Amino acid sequence: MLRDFQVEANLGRRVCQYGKSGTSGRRRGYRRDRVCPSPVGNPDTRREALTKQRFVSRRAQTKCNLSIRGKLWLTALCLLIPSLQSWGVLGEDAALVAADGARINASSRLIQRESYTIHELRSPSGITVREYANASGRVFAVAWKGPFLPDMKQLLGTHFEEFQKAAQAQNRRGGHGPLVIQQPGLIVELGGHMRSFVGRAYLPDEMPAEVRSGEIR
Amino acid sequence: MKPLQFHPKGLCAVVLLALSALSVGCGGGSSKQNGTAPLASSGGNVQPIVVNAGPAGNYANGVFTSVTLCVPSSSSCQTISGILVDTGSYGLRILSSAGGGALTLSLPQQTASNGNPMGECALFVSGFTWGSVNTADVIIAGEQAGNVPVQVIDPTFAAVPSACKNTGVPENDTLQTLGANGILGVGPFAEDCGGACTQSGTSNPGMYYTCASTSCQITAEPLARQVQNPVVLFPNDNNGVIIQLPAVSGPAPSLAGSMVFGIGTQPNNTLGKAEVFPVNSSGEFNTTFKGQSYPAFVDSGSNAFFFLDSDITGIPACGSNGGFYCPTTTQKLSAITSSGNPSQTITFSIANADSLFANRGDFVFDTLGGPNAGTFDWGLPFFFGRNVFTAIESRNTPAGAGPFWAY
Repeated sequence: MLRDFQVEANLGRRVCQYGKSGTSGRRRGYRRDRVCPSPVGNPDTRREALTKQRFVSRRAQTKCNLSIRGKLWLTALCLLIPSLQSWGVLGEDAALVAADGARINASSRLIQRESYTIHELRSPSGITVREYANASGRVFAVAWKGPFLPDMKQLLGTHFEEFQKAAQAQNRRGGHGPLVIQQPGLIVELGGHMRSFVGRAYLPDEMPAEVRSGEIR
Repeated sequence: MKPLQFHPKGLCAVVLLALSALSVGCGGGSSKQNGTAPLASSGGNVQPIVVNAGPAGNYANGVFTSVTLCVPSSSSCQTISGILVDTGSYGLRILSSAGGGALTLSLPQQTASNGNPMGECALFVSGFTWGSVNTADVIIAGEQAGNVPVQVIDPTFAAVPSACKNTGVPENDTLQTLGANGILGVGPFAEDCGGACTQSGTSNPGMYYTCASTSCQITAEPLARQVQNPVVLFPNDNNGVIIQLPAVSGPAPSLAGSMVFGIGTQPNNTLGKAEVFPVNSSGEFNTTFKGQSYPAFVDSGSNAFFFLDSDITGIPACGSNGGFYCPTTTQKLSAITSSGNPSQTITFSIANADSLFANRGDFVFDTLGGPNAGTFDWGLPFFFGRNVFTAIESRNTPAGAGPFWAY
């Protein structure tokens, strides 16, 4: 559903982010997927990622004027960290680059907590995604809210199929209601109604000990 | 979803249910009425509804009605029963015969400016429906709406777009997965998408598509062409609906009631003493439980009280029916629904779902509950014994413009 939304960190992967930058153009056009032009991972994810990068890069021509130096810096950054993703995935590592003021804009912000960092992104169609990365940069949870669903395949990464199968197996005795997926090592909850959805996914085994599931929202 | 299981006892129940549905179809209220809510039994704006197993024979707490569709401005019509009445969605969706539904009438397809048919991926929490956008005259009770954009749910219409698949929720394009011959979305909004789908580019969420023979492309869809709540297109009684279902105590095979069109437009649809709860742009208000406030909504299309989680409620989830609560003894609870000043305390009970489901002939459950992290979903049991008014956005009523709920 969320074709316009470049999710920064899927549950469980690293986050690749911009470092310091001063240009307002970059601020407006802030898109992490341009940082890492060669996503790795499963072929499907990769193909989609590349498609989306092309899409976004068209926008970037008008909305984001990165300096050559900036581009080189960012490319170098990604080369230095081979496992960096165009976006992270639930359950993998997030390589967090120190944020600066330019990162705090209408579509993206960082929230620092005692034992984790929340990366909050808001898509043009109004979906907010929050990614929870632990101290070592691993995304242990994602939460979303908005009038539509985010691209869950992108967000859940390798956990997507597990979610999909469990969602199909959900027994509502013939009826409809929210999804509650409780697999060993993966919790996904999806509620709401048409034009307003809310949900979260987390990896209970990777949650920092002091984090309560109620904080993921 | 489990396949249908028929056995002699179940078959008897189905026959009984069919008889019960027939009696409803003949225009009568319900002999089961024991709540305080009066039933509007007649009038051109009154449509019988019934809670029963539905056309798939297995639906717990589903409220169904029938709808007549016609090729616009013609006498070529078909009446389809087993349509789920859903205050949590907006617009009429009919399951095609290709999906195992009852629709055989050929309705004209809506086409894009390039002549290609329009497709839609409509998103629900428990799944998506995929199919074409078609146009129909819609007749319910004595009300008629002309040229209504509806969705014909059809898994064979075109390949399901990846954006739709990538939501991860199940495809509900068959009788077994949908549990109904269609969905009548009569919630507090007019269109199923709204402003977002009228835009091009990145703001468009990807619900509407133009479909060439094999593949579909996301496209902008003006409001008036979006699949929409047929009520807003009625000439009269077009500002909302009332769902009226009597109270029950304990499981039952079926329950009859009424859907009344219009709010304050006829003697039989006045608000009376109902309290009005405005809802926000997401179609939600608040519910306070154990001192904590949560976003909430009223949804006849959710088949239980779905609220919070075991950590907060202290009620364990079931083992085999993991989406429901299974307390060892029935829990009496209360919560406060509010929207700014107006507030109302709702008392309700949650019983063990495994025990409720033990009798396969029962399909009405006033004490069925389940988890729903961080949210209160006042599902169908909320409607039992309570007249629930749903006022549609920007439509005037004697209590002001919608969207609101009143009860």
